[in-house]
Amino acid sequence: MALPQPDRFNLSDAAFTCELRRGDRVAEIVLGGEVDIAARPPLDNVLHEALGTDSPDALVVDLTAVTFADSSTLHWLTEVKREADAAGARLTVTTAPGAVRDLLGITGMKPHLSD
Amino acid sequence: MDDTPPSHWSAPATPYEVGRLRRAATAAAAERGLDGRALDHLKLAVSEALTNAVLHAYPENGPPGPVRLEVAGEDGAVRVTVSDRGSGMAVRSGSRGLGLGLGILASVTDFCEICSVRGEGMRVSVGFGCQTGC
Repeated sequence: MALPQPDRFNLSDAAFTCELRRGDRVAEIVLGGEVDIAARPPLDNVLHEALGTDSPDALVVDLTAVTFADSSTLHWLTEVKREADAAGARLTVTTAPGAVRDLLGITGMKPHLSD
Repeated sequence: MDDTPPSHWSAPATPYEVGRLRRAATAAAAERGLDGRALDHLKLAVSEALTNAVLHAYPENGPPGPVRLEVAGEDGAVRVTVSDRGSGMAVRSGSRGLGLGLGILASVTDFCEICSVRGEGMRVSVGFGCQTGC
C-alpha cells in the first residue's frame, strides 16, 4: 500500500525546522515541527555550532513550536545538557503545553534538563 | 475482530522512514475512530517502535532491512503492529538510545505485547481503546 501524503490527514505536522540565534553571550536553538530520529544529524550540528569556538554563558533550547517529539529527542536533549555543562553554559529548555511537555512528564526528565 | 481490512506498509528501517510511517499509522488510526489524546499516544508509540527497529534490528553498518507496519481495528479500538526481520532483542553495549523507548511505549498504550525470536526478528503490538489484543 502506498503511503499517504504526509499532510493529508494532519496539517499540524509541520516539517522539522531548526534555527540558531545568537545574542550577548547567549545562544538559542529554536526548533519546530516534528523532531524524531531523522532530525538527529542537524541537531548535532547546531549544538556544536552553538557551543563552538565562542562558548556562550547561556544556552536556550526553545521547543515551544515542536509538534512531535519522542525518545530520540530526549536522547539529544541529554547530550545538550552534557555538552552545555562541559562548556560552562547554563541551559534552559522551554516548552509549551502539548507533545513535548507530555513526553517530559511521562519520563520525568524535565528536572534533569534545565539548570 | 472487525470488518475493516488492516492497512499495512513496508519500508527500509531507516531514520527517514520513521516520520512517513508514523503519519501513515496516525492517519489510519484516525480513520478507525481513534482521536484526541489516544491518537497522540498512538503516534508516540509507533514512533518508538519504529525507532527501535531502526536502531537495533539490523547491523549498524550494513544495508537496512525491512520494517513492516500494520494498523487494524475500528470504532476507536485500534491495534498497531511493527515488525522487523532483524536479530531480535539482545543485550547491547554502546546503545544508540536512552533505553526509554519501549518503556514510553508501554506507558502510553492500553495493551502492549513484544515478541522476539532470536535471529528472526521482533514484533511489537500495541492496542488503544482495548485491554487485550483488540
